Amino acid sequence: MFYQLRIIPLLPLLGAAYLILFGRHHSRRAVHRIACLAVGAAFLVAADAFFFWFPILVQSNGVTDLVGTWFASGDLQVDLVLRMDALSGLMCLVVSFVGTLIHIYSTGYMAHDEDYARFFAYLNLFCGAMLLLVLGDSLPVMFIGWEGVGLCSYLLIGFWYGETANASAGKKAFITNRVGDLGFLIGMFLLFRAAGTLDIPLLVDTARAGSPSLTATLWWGQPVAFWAALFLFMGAVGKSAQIPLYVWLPDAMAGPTPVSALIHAATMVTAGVYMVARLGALYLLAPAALAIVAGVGALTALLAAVIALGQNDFKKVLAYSTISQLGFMFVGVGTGNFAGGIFHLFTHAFFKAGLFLCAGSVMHAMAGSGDITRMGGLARKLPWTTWVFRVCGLAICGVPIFSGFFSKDAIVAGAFATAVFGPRLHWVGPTVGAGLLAAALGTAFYMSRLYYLVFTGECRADLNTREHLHESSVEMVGPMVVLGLGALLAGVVGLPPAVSRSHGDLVGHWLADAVGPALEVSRGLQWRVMAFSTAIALAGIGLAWRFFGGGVREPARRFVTTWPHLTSAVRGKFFVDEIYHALVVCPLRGLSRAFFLVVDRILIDKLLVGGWTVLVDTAGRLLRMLQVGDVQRYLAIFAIGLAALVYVMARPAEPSEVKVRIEGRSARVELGEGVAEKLDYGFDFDGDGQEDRSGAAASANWLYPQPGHYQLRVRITDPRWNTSRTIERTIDIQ
Amino acid sequence: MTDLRLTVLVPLLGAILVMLAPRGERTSRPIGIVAALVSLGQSLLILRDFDKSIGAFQMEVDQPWVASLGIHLHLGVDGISLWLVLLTTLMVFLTLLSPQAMGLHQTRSRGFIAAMLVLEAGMLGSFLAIDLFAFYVFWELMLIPMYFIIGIWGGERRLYAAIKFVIFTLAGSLLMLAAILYLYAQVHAVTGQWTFDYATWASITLPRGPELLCFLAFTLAFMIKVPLVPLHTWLPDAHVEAPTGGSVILAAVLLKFGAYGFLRFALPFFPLAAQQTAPIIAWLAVAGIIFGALMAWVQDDVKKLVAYSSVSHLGFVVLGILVLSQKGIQGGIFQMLAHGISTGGLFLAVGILYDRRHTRQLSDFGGLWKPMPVFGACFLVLVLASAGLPGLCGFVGEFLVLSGTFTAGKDWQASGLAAPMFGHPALLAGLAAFAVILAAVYLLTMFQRVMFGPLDKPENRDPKLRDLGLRERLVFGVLVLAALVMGMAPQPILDRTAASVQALTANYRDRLAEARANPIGPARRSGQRPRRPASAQPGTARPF
Amino acid sequence: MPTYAYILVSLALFFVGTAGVLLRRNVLIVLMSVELQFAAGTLALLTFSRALGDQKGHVFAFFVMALAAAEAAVGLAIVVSVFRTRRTASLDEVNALKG
Repeated sequence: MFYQLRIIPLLPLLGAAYLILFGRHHSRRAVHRIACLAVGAAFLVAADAFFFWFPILVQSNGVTDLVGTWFASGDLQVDLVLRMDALSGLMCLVVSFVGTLIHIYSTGYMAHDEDYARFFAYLNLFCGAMLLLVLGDSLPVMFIGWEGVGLCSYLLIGFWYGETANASAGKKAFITNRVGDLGFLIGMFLLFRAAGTLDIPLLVDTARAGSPSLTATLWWGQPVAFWAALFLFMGAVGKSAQIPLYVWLPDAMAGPTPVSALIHAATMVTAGVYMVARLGALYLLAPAALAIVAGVGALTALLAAVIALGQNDFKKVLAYSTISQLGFMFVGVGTGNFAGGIFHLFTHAFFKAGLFLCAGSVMHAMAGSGDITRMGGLARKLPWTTWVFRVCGLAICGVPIFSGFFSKDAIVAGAFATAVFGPRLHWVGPTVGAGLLAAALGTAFYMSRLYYLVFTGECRADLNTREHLHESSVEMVGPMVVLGLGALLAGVVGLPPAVSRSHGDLVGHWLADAVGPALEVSRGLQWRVMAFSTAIALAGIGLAWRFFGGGVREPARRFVTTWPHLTSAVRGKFFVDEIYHALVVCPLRGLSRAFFLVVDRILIDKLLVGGWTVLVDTAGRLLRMLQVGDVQRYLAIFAIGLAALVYVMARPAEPSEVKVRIEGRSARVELGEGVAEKLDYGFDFDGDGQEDRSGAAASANWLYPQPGHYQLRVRITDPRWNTSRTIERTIDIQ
Repeated sequence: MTDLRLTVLVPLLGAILVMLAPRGERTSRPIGIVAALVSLGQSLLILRDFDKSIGAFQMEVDQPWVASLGIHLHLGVDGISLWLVLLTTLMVFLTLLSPQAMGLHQTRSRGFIAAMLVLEAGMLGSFLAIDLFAFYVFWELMLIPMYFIIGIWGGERRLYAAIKFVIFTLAGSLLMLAAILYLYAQVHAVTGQWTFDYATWASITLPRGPELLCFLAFTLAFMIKVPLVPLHTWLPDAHVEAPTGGSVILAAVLLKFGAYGFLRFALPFFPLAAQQTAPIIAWLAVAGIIFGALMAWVQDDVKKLVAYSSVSHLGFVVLGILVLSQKGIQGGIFQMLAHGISTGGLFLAVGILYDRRHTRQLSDFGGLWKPMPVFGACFLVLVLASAGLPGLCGFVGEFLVLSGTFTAGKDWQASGLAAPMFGHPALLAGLAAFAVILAAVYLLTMFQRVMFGPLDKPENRDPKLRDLGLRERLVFGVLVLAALVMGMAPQPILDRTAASVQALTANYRDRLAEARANPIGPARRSGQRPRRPASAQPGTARPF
Repeated sequence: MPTYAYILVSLALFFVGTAGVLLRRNVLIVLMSVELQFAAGTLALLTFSRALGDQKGHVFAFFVMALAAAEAAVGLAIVVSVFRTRRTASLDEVNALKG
């Protein structure tokens, strides 16, 4: 069997192209059939390829498909090349699988939307771009996908463009991502300058070999690898919504819910994690960069978990939860535990997509509203949704057996066990590990709060809504159930070695060739972390039950009244958006406006350009005064000018300079150039009044008989005017 | 084999035919479109016959014009001009095809079409001429029709804009003329023959001082055309007042002459001066990139916004060229083409908006995606291409320019000449890369305010606000396709520019080395009086 | 009589004519002064022609006379036309070309 990998991204891309061009003329059925078929086929091909090549993938660099040269110039060559190894293959499967499910879900969720074809076209385009990102084996090719998914995210967030807020949220997402992309670009340039290539395998080999081109010091005592890793991480921070660029993701919830599930939970936002894992060898060269990755991840995990506690919008809670979980993944890859990070990415794709689909199902039932203060007691009306939510919720809380438990523990245990930071930064691992445990507590709490407020207790919605509560259609429930099963079972691929000796940490083994050997964690540490995190998860759930079980309870109210400022700060998301607006957007825009008004309009256009105009204009005005319109005055000027001209042309000639050269006792006098012709010269060398030489020659020699002072006289006569001039010089003869 | 003389002649003949046709659009527009189509076909033939392995000029025709003064109609095409010629013929064709080309003044269309064709002839001649006299004649020939296009078919302040455009451009080109005349005499002094031949001119080395002055004269002419900050203020005015067709051609082709002239003339003629001033111009280019982007952000007039975005985008072209490496220059050339497609397309899109709504204020639009989805999709592709989204045409050029700038020091060391250019090329590249963010900011803001948001203004709900018509679809279809193809498969374009750029940079390096080895100036022919007395010579050899 | 005497007369005539052209305000008198200048030129031409024994000067004298006649005709026509529109023949009043 022979596949070309290019088929995988091409299928959804072709689907998108077809739908964009002709989708409007097709029925809804045709549209979603085409769309689902395109991405479903991509999944089948990817799965087939993955399992067919599985032995090769896990033991080598995988399979490549060279489409051709994208562009080449000078020493830069960028090939359009795709590669499936264990890592990209796994991602490919996740993306196409979740993508397919969400396409199916969308046929139900978007069933009544006017712009059906456009939605599926974007969704297909997204899948194609994401698969290109995953499979791309050269950083610029990855960058096509990278920006391509950003574009789709922009389009889908602003899908309901009629609301300015939606469109603005899309724009914000794109621009924030672009800030990160700037870092990605600079990272690429740095790598290219150092390693001379942008092909990922070559870069990884160079990094694994510890090539001096990457370890050479660049700026501020840090090696090239550090700066390249840091700038690339800036890209990851943008795409994966980490501090300080996470602000776009909560706003991105303005898009349709399937989009939030696919793009803003399961796939696109994990691209940053994927990229760091892919270039893991580079990061390992720069422990400081890894520490930054881990630190940012832990900080984000914690901050987002805290903010999620105070949100009252179903999807906003999930959005902050996603940010927080992405922080977990970054801690994973940032502690050199690449397989752990990817494992969490894998399980997260299931349970977070499942949670979002539940959100969609709930909001569908609630007539589009996501306000959890208006929900409650939905478990009876939406049984399937509730069950899926329970499974996925327990998974994210990290309750044993569920997938999230294993992946989260793999990361936390890795953080405590890792040695990648070296002696100077050894404290980073345990610190971020502790941070994650705190975040895990928050996770369990906000997730359970969400569950209790939405599904338990009495329904707080208005009567009309309450009467229309209904479970979603089968095309929506089906994918949810599949994802729920995934959330339950996905953990088996990464059981801790302490639990299962033979089947422990399968992911780590598979990915060993792609991202490096799995992190060694001692058995005891594994057990300890598992026990501790189970306790934390249960504590979080218990605490949440105490506060919110069956609705907002007394302790929660008391908490709010005791710490009003803290609660309002958390509810206000610590006002980060407002701060950014005040510190970045407003000054920049004000500066631009000021520049436009002052520099462009006044300084350049008025003063520089206008200045010249005024100069020329004034000169013209002044000269105009001479033109009085009186012919006689013109004539007078003309006559004066003519007279002057005649004088200049015909005036008596003058010698320009007199040069006297003395050598010993002989002297030579030369009259400089510029003398009119036909002059008569007389030279009196000894000052006796007698001309010693005369005639038309402009120079003369004389030999003095003895040394002394002599008076030299030169006479120049112009025969035309009969004028005569005499020039005198004194000369010394030794 | 194609005859390049015909390439220049066909639009001129077309213009004459158009003027002979009866008044009105009925017959003159088909004639104009056919003439433009024939030109396009001819440039495609040139593309077919082009041999990409040759770096020198191809398909040369050398016809004496004023032989006694050494003036020849000497035309030739190389990798640098090849695609620009194609861009020119394509954009003129699309412009004539587009129903909005004349803006709202649907009068005197015959004159407009003729002016367009004369303009095309001037542009093609300037790209193809390798005789300085012919170049200058064509260069000025472009000015006149553009003046009329802005001045007759323009908006309210059209006369102001047209005169500003002409005075700015003329100020530069007259300085260039002075330099050309000086060089003409200088070439005679060195070679003993009166000639305007490009190759001869490119082979003589000038004395240091005059070289710098001539370089500045040439550069000023080109910098105004590009335009580089702070010589750019004619551009927004010209663009805003020009009719759509004028704006399209102005942005897509005319602006390219600045960069083209720099590449074709200023670099080969004055290598040392170019190298000495490169850092200053490079910083100006980067300043323009940022400045243009910031200015674009705060515009309320769509057309002005796109005009300022041109300032930003063309900064990349200049930066790439000044890096003086294969990547940079090829990237610069590619960026010229990409900018031609994307910004030309954006101006056409603005023309459509103006045609439908008779306004260009961002605040007057909103929610237009609903009534105009096809237009919206095309507009979006062009916006994204302009923002440099990978996979569309804008990315490749920017990427090559930025990576070329970033690695400039390394490239120069590799070529054997210690990097003399910028202290921190990486810093330059990093600053220029900020345009990546800013471009997204201003372009998406524009797009959102036009296409997204509620459809709350009654004028925008007018049923007359129709989506793209057939002819418009054709025009936009070609542009969108070009943007996609250039983004996904740029290599055929880069392949055909590679050899010429390589020849250019190699020649440049040789000449630079020669100029450094001989710092006094050119070796004169015997019989000429030496510039300085022989005794003064040894002490004046300044170390470089 | 010596040649310079003729030249002196010619010079004197020319200066009188020039002074008239520059100083008088009436167009007719200015035109007459121009005629004086022509006469001075003609006299100089004839003088040198005689002195050098060359007939070309005579020929040019005829040219000058023809020219003077033409000039007078055109000049007078302009004066009449100006007088018709402006009701004046004074140069002070005729300055439409003032900048």
